[in-house]
Amino acid sequence: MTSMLMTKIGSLELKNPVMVASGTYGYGEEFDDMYDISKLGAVVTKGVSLKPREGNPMPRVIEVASGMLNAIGLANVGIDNFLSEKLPFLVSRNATVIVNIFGSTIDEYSELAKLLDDHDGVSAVEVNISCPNVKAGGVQFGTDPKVAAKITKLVKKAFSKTVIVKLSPQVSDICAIAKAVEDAGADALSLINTIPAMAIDVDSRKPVLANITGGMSGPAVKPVALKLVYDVARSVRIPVVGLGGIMTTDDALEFLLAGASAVQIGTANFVNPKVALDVISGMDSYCRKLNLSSVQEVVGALEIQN
Amino acid sequence: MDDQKTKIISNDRIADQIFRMRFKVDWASFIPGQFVMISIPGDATFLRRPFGIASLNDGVAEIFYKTVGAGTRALSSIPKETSITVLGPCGHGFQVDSLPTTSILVAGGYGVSPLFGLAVKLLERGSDVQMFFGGMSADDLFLLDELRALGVRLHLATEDGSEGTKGLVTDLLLQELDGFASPHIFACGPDGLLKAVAEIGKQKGIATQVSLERYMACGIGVCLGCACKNSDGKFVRTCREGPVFDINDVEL
Repeated sequence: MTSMLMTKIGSLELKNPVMVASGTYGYGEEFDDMYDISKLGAVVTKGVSLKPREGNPMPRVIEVASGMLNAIGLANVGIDNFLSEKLPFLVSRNATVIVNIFGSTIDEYSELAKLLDDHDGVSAVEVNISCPNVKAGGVQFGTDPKVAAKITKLVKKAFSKTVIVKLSPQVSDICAIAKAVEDAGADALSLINTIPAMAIDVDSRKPVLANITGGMSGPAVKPVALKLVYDVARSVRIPVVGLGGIMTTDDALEFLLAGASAVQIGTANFVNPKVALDVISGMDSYCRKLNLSSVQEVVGALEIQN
Repeated sequence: MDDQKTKIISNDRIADQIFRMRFKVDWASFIPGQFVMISIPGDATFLRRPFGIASLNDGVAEIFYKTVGAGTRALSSIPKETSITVLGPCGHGFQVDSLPTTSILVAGGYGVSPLFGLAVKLLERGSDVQMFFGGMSADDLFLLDELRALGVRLHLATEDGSEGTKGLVTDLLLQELDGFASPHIFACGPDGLLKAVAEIGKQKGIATQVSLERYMACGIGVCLGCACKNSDGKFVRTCREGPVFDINDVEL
């Protein structure tokens, strides 16, 4: 790929604006025998916490119309194993690594950020204050602008490279949260996390997910995500990373036009494991067709008739 | 493992609610117990669906499936020549490093599908293959002629008595098991059957492997939606560490 797709998120330089979203790509290992994962803009890892987590009881995924629900509950290997096994693998494959971090308390975020700061292989952290499927932490941190700002400040203090804060769609004013996080020093924002949702089995009259509720993702959420990205991109000066239901190049371009500087592909990885490569080459073709010198010319280029 | 576009060669109903589908693949071999993730054309489903691989001959893979939900119902109406995307072979299959004198295959309904491929492999290598095949009724027992033609000895049971012994196939297994020389057990079917087989295997000290069926979103180990518990009570991924487990490594 050419330099046409190069993208900057804060001080972080990416080969292209296509990342894979946290929780849909593990730690990259599973895709290694299918393609060269260094071709991605970045791999955003499964959310990592201080201690390993088993996650919620089963069942914890279910298909819904044009999408799916999950209530995994941030099952992960924990920071120690991540640093000793997962990160070296990603580094060995020359992947650009963004580590999604999750704490049950505010201090845990700062501790995680501190532990990751020492590692050259980590290019950025994505602060998860928006998971709908955990009892402690998660979205409760992401709905209060003051708490969101406090976590951002602590992580910025502990981590010297790019800090991205991942926002929840389920707030009354996402721009207020976005601004609070920007003012607290975040280098970029990513949105949206999944939308709280549920499904019921009418025969058993029970919720389908053992956790009762889950987070919705997939093409069904794309229009919602797009509108929130559009709103946030106009209200902050820091870069916005757009995600939510991207399945195709056109979906990704919609997010760029709405103001996102980069995108993440999530649930689509489950349906088409090579989708991220398709979107990267699709963007390249789009730029060539329009004779653009940089994909960044598309960012925020939405034309609105008066 | 690879993801490829291919065309359905055939997709035929072979028994009540049971279909046999064939499609070309690029991979040259598979381990019985491994599965494919198939994208179902049309709007009926969003996620792919997992299917145990039954056979692979001259680049043509074969699966058997029962129409049990929206995905399999939609798949059953897809005509041949239609393009599908097939990811595979996925997962950890049956391990037959040391060839057992007698291989006891226990199938519940369409759980026979991955065991078909295992039977072929075991017979080729010279094991005596005895299959205990159970279902609710005769409609659930299919592939019988093909299995007999391979040289598999069949022991049939149905809960309604419409074919073979009336009752559970695991009860039939328990009755006849002592007559076989140094057997290993390989099972695929609903959880109830696998649980009973695992108990029998543990009781009698027989090496036993079971193949689990679980709802899956990705099939490659990243969504973490198909987890089952290992013997330490920790979640492991059915799609990656399984779907075939030694009974000492999985909690059923």
